[in-house]
Amino acid sequence: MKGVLHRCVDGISDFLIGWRHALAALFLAMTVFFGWSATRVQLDPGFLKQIPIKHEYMRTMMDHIKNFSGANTLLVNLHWKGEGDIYNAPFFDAMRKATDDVFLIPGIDRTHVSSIFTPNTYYIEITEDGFKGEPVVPARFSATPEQLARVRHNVSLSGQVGLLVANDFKSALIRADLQEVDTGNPEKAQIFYQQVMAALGNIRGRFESKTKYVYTLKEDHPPFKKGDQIDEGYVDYGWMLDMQPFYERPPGGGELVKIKGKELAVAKVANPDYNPNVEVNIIGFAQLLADVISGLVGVFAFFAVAFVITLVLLYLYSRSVRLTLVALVVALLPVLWLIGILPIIGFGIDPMSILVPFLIFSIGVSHAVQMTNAWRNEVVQGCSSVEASRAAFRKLFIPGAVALLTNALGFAVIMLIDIPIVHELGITACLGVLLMIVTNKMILPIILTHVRLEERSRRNSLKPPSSRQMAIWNQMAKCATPKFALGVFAVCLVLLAGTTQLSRGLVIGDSGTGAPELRPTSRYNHDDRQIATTYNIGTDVLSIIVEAPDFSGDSCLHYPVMNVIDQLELYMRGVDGVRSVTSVAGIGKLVIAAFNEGNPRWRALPRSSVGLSTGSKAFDPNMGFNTEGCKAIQVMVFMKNHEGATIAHAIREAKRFIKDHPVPGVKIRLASGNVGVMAATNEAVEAAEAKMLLAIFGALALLCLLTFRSWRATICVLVPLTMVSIFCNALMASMHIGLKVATLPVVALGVGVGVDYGIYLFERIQHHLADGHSFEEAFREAMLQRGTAAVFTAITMAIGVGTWTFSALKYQGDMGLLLSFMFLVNMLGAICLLPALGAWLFRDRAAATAAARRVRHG
Amino acid sequence: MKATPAAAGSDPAGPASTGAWPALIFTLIVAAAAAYAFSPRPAPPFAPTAVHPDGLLVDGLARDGDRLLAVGEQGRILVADSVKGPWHEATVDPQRGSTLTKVKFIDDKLVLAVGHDGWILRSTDRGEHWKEAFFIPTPKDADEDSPSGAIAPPPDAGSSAEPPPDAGMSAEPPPDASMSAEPPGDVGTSAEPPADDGSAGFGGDSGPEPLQPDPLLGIAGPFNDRIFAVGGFGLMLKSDDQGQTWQRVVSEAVGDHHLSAMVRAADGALILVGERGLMARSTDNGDNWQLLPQVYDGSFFGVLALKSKSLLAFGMRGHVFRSEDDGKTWKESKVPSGSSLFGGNVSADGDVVLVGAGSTVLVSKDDGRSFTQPLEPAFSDLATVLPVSADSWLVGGDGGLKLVTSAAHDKETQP
Repeated sequence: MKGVLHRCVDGISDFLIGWRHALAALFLAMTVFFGWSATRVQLDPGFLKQIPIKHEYMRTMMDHIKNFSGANTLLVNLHWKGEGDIYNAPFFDAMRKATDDVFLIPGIDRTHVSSIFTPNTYYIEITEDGFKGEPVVPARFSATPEQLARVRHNVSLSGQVGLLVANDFKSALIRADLQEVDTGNPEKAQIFYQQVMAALGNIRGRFESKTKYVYTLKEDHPPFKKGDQIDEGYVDYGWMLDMQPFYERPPGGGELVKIKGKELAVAKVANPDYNPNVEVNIIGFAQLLADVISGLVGVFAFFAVAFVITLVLLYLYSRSVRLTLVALVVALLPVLWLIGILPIIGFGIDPMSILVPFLIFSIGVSHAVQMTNAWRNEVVQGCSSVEASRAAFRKLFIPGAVALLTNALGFAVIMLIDIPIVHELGITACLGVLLMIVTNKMILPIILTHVRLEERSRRNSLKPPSSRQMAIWNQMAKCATPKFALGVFAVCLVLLAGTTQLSRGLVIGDSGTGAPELRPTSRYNHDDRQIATTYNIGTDVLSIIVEAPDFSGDSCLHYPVMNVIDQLELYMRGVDGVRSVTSVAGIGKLVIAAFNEGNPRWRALPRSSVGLSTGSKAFDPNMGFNTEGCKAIQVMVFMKNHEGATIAHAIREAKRFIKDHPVPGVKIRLASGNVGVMAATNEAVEAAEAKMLLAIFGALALLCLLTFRSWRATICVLVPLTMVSIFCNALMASMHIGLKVATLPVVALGVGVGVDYGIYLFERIQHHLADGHSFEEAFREAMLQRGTAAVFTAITMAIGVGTWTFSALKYQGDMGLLLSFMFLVNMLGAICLLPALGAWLFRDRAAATAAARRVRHG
Repeated sequence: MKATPAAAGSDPAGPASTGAWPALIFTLIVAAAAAYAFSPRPAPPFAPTAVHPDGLLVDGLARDGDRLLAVGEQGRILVADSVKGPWHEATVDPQRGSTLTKVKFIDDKLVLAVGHDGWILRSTDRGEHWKEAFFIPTPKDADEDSPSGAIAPPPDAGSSAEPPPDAGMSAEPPPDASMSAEPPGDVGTSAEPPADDGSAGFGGDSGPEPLQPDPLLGIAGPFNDRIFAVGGFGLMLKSDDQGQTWQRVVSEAVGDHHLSAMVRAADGALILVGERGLMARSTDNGDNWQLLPQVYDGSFFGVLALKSKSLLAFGMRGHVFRSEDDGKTWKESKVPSGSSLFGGNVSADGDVVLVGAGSTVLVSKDDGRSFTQPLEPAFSDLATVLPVSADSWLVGGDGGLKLVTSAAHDKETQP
């Protein structure tokens, strides 16, 4: 069968070389087509993509997303940095303007915007004659000292201290919910989020920026005329303006018209609303997205850096400008093709899949190096370019294709994580690697047929390996002797013992507070801390949904329903890691007490519907805690942090409560809110971890068995990978990197890519073993032929992904660090541990072969 | 390129060669380490879920010696032997889940607590274990609180360790049905339209209505071995057997006013205060009551007997009145706050402390004639207070229990 395979490869190589001109034309046409298509690629963020949509919790969230906004809440906080507290005219002026601006954000749910300026924020004052409730800020408010004193009084009675007004009276908050539109359509989602992000940037800039920017058209853009003012804003786009689209509705109405930033002239005027004493803090998914996207811009810079470093390394390695350029171009081809295919299959680029092109580029370079290396060796030995291409193809097609298939496998198994964004990452990466079989294994040989190696490079290649290099390889080859192998085992066991223990400390989910996507020092996380430390509400909300659809009339007027919610509220308050809990039961009791002169001793749920109806103001669907008729009610649990363990504990305790408190007709379901999303994500990640590892190692074992027909070879390749996977977990644990959507794929990717070294090396070793060499000799030969390429490849790839470490996005940094580690250490495993294992596993074989040879020769 | 001879790439059949054992053992160790490293990782320890002193609405506090008791929402009772805690939950049987409003030591063993639904709890071991002495079930239509449709009826009360508080209630008489309490009212009573301001009761003028599940808001006594429990809509109960059985007291004078508190004056007369300026006096140990002239039209939430034998009544919007003639006449005290006052106490050296809405704490060192406000107001409402020292108090309210100190008032410490 192996002979069949090789004949097959020979056939393909003849076809490839024979039809190379026609194929070149075809590939060129494809490249042009994909290049054109690539210009249409869209940024496709979107909230729903990032959650495990089929998870039980997320089904609960989706069932109620129309009633309760889920997790897409926006908080805009105005912080007074000046003297005194917020009760001054400039602050209230800013607060009013900011509230108005929030209302104008596209997609905002206007019934749920609340700040001290909105009419749904009222206070209750209890007097001898009953009580009165009025908006906190009176309708005709002009910030006179008397009115400010009045508002101060109202706020203290409103119960909003700690909610809409900071505990230290230095900030006030605007709370709003964003309704996501049409997530199925990347283009619309993109426009939507761009508008939201622009609006948020302008709210911040309105008070923090000294300059206001007025945008007018440089040329006609129907239906607008030259000189028309298109927009004004407070965000300095700088050189980014050209990339910033503006959307403007024509004067007569109709669809939004997209106007590119470069069509606009900018005039700078002084910003009348600028106030150095006002700081604007904005948190929420849309703002996070904006910050993540601006962080992504940095990614392009890293791409450039990685590209240049690769270029230099390639040149140093090959000493040939032509080969360097060919390798780079060929490594870029699958990236271009991939980006071209994305719009065709309806995918966009999101913050996670943007890393795929890097990875594909790095892998592409490594395979291109193997190919150009083999080609150069042939040319140096006197072949023509065409013949060298054919030979290189024949030698490398099988190990190369197997290596790429294992890479694809590594990417494919991460699809076991049931989260759309990870699926897309898996599909995109898989596709990219498969494209590489075409670009690297077919286009590269065709291009190489047209390349003439520079004389300098040829001379450089003809030089025998320097004595130092030889010494290194000889030293390495000693690993392949049984005696040294034992030493390698001993060192590995010591490392293994330490790292295994360390790896037990790995946590699932995020660590700490703030947005895990961004670094702790980022503006977003600064804002998050500002809000989290001065208000009682955290930004980490676990929302538990109580469904009571079958009660007659208003479910909130039935004591069993309200009582179980009240008990749930008290129970969750007692759970470690919970900061506070809010629900209709607690608010209902507050209202009932308010009807009883504010006396806290009346703060209890009456057992009759009549009694409960006293608290019915609390069951107003506009407050966002329940639907009309209380058919669904959300209990909001504010968490102290969103560490994976804390979330898991809260979820466990909530489940225990639900199990212990069955109420007929009432269904308590987990979970919505951002913590609900994290809980679902963490559970999906946890469930996927073992499955994913078993799948990748199982598949690799199978592939190795098929390729090498030897369980010994399989052990030699897989054992180092297994060890490195444990090392990776230990590294994560010691660097406090949690296992989450971004880091879970790393092990699979690292293993899938890291196996390349083992496969390329062992393929050679096997050849030499077949020729009757001892394992040690076979290994030394293999290292001479492919070792340099392997080391070079590992370093290039590690540098390529290592540049991510500097990303503004924390998870990219984590991924970069871990992948670099995996690539490098897997290479070390392949050149140290693999031979040590082989030395023992193939000891008898080598002896037997030698004996056989002696017999034959003797 | 030569095709690889097929034979060279395949293994000899049969078990592993003996010479390979170090590599095989190493492989096994790595496999075992991987299995261990990737097996489910243990969750870090978390504090067990329990009612936290700062997470419970506390309406009543009591102290006897070192023993401290706090009662509050959902019938929860916390016990501690130091103001700094730790607090643990007492056992309540049966746990009705009604909010408790007051707690009082009757002697050094016996403690009583009262709450909503006419619930009275009794403990004879300084508050560790509580038994029900009285409870007024809510009359209701059999399926009013059941969801419509084909949903199973509520589980049998005996089938779970902690039945829903109202399971099977209408069929179950109060445990101490022996006293003069009327049977639970009929369905028609609860079908009355809701009273929007909460103050209008069921009351008619023609004699006492059947007992309704109204809240008890105060407990007083023992006055000549008689203990009183008073509450909403004129509910007044008395016990002459250490709180084991309770009898209803109906007073024309009191009507359906909410009753907040009762105290005994130096001359042995009982003083009762309540809603809408109600002040009543009884000279026959509570059998008959006479209204006192109204001095204030807002509600009183408490009354204290001071060391000097003066009386102090306090209520809405910072109104405090003092009487030096056993409650016959009252004079308003000077108060620097307009917040409603819901609780008060007298310290060992005679200082008076009152607490109320907006974290108000008022202190008087002149026997209640004038008050100072040693603490900044804050958000939570306080219902009850125990003096700890001259300038620190244990307060209870909707923010739970707090130990507050005037010396460094911004440093509130959780007990």
